[in-house]
Amino acid sequence: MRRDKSLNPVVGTDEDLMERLCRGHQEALAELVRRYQNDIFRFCLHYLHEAERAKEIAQETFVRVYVARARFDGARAFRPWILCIARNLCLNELKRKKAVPMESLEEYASAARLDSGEVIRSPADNPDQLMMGAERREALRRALADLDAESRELVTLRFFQRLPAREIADILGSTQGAVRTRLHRILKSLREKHAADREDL
Amino acid sequence: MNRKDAEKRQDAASTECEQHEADLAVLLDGALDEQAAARVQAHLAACPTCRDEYAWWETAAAELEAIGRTAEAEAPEVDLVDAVMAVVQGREHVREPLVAPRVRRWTWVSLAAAAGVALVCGLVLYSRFSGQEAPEEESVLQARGEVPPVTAPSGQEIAPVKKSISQFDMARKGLPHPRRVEDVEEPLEATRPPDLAALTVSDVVRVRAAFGDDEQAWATLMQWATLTPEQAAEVAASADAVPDAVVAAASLLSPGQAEQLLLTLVGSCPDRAYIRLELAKAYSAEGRMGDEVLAQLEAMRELDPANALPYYLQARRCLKEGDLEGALAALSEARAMEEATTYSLEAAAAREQALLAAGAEPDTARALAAFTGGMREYDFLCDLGNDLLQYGLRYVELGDLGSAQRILEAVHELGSQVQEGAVFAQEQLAGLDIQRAVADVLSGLYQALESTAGLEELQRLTSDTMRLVTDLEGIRQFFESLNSLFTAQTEEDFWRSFSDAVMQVGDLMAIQEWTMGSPARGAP
Repeated sequence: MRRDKSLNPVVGTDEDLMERLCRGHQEALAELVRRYQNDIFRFCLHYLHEAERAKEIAQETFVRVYVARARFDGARAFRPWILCIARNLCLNELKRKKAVPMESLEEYASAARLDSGEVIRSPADNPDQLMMGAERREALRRALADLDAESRELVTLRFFQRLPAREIADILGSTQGAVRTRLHRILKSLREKHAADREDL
Repeated sequence: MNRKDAEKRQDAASTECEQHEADLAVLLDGALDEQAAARVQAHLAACPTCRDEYAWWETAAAELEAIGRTAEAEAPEVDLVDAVMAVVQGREHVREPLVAPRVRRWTWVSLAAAAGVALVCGLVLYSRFSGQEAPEEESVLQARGEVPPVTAPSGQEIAPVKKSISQFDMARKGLPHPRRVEDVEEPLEATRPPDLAALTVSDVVRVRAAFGDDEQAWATLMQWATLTPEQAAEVAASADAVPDAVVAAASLLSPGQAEQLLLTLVGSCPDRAYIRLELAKAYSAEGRMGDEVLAQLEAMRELDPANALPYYLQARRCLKEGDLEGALAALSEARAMEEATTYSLEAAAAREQALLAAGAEPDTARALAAFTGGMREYDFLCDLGNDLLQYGLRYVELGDLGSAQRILEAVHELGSQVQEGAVFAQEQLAGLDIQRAVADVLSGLYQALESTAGLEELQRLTSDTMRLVTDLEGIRQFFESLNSLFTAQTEEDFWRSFSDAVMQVGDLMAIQEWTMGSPARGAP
């Protein structure tokens, strides 16, 4: 048990900070905001695609953390918990504003792609890889556009946000195995779509 | 090597590949243990197909991650500390409102996630509903509907839709079926409280908590929440009764009396679409389908242009009078809308007012109105869906499949719009039941159309119907969360706050707020 009161409130794990917050130390919340504000903001941006709205929802996320502090289970990790709150708020926001949620992921991907001069690594023993990066990316983009909203969300969480399957499962209320199976199906379908595309050309 | 051997070898190879496929997904995640990783690597070395596939995944994953990184690098930095702390410090002294922004569209993804939070917090213990036997009727619609008189041309596969429908029916079992008070038999007299004024919140919660075990509990609660004709007449005649109380009382009187009362109210509150809807209902109940009804529907459309409901009501009226053209025009207008709402929150508020006017304690009136919210709407919506469905079937019988298709597809849309506009779980259930009932008929119709377009529609219908199954699972989770609340919470204070929330945003939002965002009120 880490209950050393002499500790400066800005050190310690996220879970320690939550415990301090529950005991009435508001400085712990300020530290959590400092630690997570940019992560949560970007996370919301993935859903909302508008910086101002993402900022509002990120702020609201921390307010909810405070309001629900007593219900945080100290035995669980903090990060999936706060991401889950942020996700719920984003989904609500999308519904409320009747915006297009994950559908715009494709635009988002293509916008990022335009600006990205990054060269993607290509394992050398694969003939597929000799394919030009641009063509591949274009094909990937087309395939992404065909995914349903849930699959897109999964792609966003796993690849764009680079969250491990374990955390995604926590956020979505699913299991690691189910998340991996779904990702695996998505990758397979992307590949099939990609192959079909090449035949069309 | 002969062909058979070659095929056999190929089969064996692909089976082996399948065995490794799941491990490949774990390997990509970097989460495979050493032993399994070695096994998979050995397979990759030996199998060019899998090697190729895996290399593609790796590259695609890297590429997707690069897209994400680029976007993140471009995102501005934010500083929220001061803003968050200001809000939080301001809230320290203020009682947290349970009000959420009114969400008109609802998907179950977020609700399932909210239920997930509840689980994490250890609030949801178990459900008393899960063990409930299915009522004898599958749904109001299904019970009243007929078997569609269309036959599938030979050779076409209709199994996918049927399969999802039967999955839906399986999942539907154990979920509540609101019943009409008038449909319930004798025992109710005994359960009616001798004196409405003596009824307490605890009485209401006790009956509501029995929903899982006692089928009569639904009817009991509904009856407690409904004034007797004598009480209704008294409220309607009272000089002090607020307009809402009179609206709710009017719906319990004869259509003629209701019409008189509602007409006066429409005069004094011309801007309330809800009262106009009630008046239109009273007219229809009297069998009057003429200009009076049209005028109310027209006014509803002006007051609430986003609501598809008046168009469906108009279509039903046209179909009843044999005006197919008018009906199809109204239905195509209706389908362009996003949602159909019956003003259930206003109806619940009106019921609360009527109970108050009849002498119920304020907390009791609120709890009764909150916990029966959406139940009457379920009946009304299913009736509307069922009427339109029956007209659709009539055109099938007449051989006008084109018109039948347009009517039935509109019914499907009605179900989905009701689902979107729902604020109470019961309304959402009505939306799902309507979609399920019409999917059954439409699948037969698409078969009969014998065209490529028909097959495409059939595929769309299959995936739509599969979505219904998922949505229904979401409702189940909702009811489970709700029921565990009713069995775990006995504090009257908690139920006061919770009914306040339900009356403001409906039960769907209220429970989400409670599980994920609001301050602990008597939470364990």
